[in-house]
Amino acid sequence: MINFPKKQQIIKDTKKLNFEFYLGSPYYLMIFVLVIIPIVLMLLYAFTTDASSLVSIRFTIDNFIEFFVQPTFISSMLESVYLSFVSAVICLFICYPVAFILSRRKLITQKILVALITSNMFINSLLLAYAVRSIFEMIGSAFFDQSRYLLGTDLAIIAGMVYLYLPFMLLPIYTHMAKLDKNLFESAEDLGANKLQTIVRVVIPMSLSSVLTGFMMVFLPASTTLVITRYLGDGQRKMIGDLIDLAFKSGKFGYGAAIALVLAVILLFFVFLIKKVDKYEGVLANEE
Amino acid sequence: MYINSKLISTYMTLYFTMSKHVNRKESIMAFIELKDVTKEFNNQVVLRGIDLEIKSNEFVTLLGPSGCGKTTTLRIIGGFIEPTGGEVLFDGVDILKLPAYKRPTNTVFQRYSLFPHLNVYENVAFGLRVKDQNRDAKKQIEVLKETYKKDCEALQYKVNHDRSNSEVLKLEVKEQKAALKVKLKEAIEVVKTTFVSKKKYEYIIEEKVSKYLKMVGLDGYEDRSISKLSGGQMQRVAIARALINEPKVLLLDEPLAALDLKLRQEMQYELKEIQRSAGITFIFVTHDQEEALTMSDKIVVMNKGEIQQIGTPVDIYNEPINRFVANFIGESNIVSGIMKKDFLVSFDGYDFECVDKGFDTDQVVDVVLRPEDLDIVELGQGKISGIVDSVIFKGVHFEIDVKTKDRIYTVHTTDFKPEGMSVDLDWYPEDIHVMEVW
Repeated sequence: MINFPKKQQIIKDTKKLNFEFYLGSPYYLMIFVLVIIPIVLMLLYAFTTDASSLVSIRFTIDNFIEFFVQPTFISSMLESVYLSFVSAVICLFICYPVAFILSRRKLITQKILVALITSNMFINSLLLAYAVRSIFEMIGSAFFDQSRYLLGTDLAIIAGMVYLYLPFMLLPIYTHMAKLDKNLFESAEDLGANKLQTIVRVVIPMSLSSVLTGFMMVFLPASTTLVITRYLGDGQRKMIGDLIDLAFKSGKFGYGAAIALVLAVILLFFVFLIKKVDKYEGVLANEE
Repeated sequence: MYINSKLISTYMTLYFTMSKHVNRKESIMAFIELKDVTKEFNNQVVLRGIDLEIKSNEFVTLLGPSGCGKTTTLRIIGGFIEPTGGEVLFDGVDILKLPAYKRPTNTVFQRYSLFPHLNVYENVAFGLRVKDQNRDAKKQIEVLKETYKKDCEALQYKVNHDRSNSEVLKLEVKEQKAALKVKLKEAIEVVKTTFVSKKKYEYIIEEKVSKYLKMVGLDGYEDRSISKLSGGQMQRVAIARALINEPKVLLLDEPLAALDLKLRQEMQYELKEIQRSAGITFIFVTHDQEEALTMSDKIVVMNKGEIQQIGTPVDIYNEPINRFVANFIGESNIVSGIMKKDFLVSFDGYDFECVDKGFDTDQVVDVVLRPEDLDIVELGQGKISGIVDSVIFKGVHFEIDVKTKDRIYTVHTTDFKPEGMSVDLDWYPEDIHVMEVW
């Protein structure tokens, strides 16, 4: 007699999978309604002609051509990326040392200082921008005999961005720094590392992932901001947010969607780059 | 700066004399000295007047219950805490001003404190990476430059104090100076040839790391991530990392506390082995008296920020100085008694022969009787009679409590006695240890 090998039955743990699926279903629905559908709509708008009725919709890439053909649009796109990048870098240089110093203070001091530094998050961003504008106007009228002298310059815009988005850089870095094991500094010192070497070899590599998170938290919203350019750009600087705003106001939905898409692609590229740099991701993953 | 360079040079000379042929005189000399070290935290005294001498190549254990200040003492030596008062001398030089990273000590921390962002290899190599591989050569160059400066000044002095103001002398000095400069440059070039290049240093690091990983039995683990190591392995990495800097003193802060019994015993043996072969002074902090007795050359028993007793394991065990030490090191029956005269102590209503002397007549004393020194004998054959109160099987021996008319004596014996049996307790005169009451 020949013994046929019995077919091995692969038992799938379908029950558990189902339960998790049901648990997650509200979120899947939310993602579908709030993320997928809008993106599809955006794509639809971007690649079709503006028309009053569904029947006359045609596929087109005119919207993109219009965007790329006009040099002013490209330049404002680059300008947005440039200004927000510089602001993010400045934010980083301000926040990183602050976060490090903060994390080494007494707990109560830490809490008070963090609350103070992040307090401008509680205030309407419109007011903040307006406040910065007023300051620049004061400086302008005091030193340059013209209140609007400084508005619209890189200085004004970057200052505004840094002021508005500083907490977004500080919080992730500070939270991570506060969690760093202080014993590690001690053991680095014990092994012969001076203060600077400890920072370079232990603190920075271990907090890099939070830096990248903070960088994105500043860079992404800053590059699409509308408030800053409106108040501090004084209408002289057309950034990408203004273009989208303008397009939608004038009913050119397809065009606005196209700009937003291009911007999204560029930002995604940056996110990708940043994630590439983040080689110490394992550090975060280890933390429970 | 001055203290620093002097210190380094003394270490250098000491290191060479020690590593090549252990100089007897040097090993007798106190290597580390703590003088009247006190420490207060928020007006709470943690350490009061710690006086301690540690010789080189010694395995010293600071032993005491938690909160007795042993870790604080260790951290003061390591440079992580500044004492409120007192001195810490290394080879007669005060090192309290030195920051931790300049001290010739390395520490194995209680929780290892390995760098989670680095793998095993990089963790061990850390100490070498933060070191300037050309520090000695650079120092040499500094010295050369100094001597050049001094020589030049000496020459200039000649010119400045030349009454005749002769041009010939000026020219001569100028030439000499130029010659000196050339000489200096040549000398520096020679020193520079001894510079270790980055590539070469990398090679040295690799060699050393693999040597020390092998020493702790972790060769082949170089690329492992720290998070994938077991407790024992992490502990070995911590030891290798501390040893690679070739410290004069290795400080160990309860490094074995987190390991299971079997592994702990293994590591105790290995640590002792490393200490012997590397010729390093070990200062070991533990609350485990068995560990202390097994490993140490010298035990420092501490309690409430004070040193109770310093001595060899045998001394500490056999001749505890007071009730605390007797209780903390091993188990003991402590009975208060009266010293009638030399070699005669009275307790529980009887007089007993003993080997202690030098007390006042009728002085009140504490008497220690170790459970394993007591024998249970048949009724009428021993010194005190009682009834077996309870018997507990402990593996190697039975722990038998014998109730006498005054108290309960604990006895360790391999002979089983049933509960309720009337027995006698017996001991030899030398088993009695008499202590002053503190």
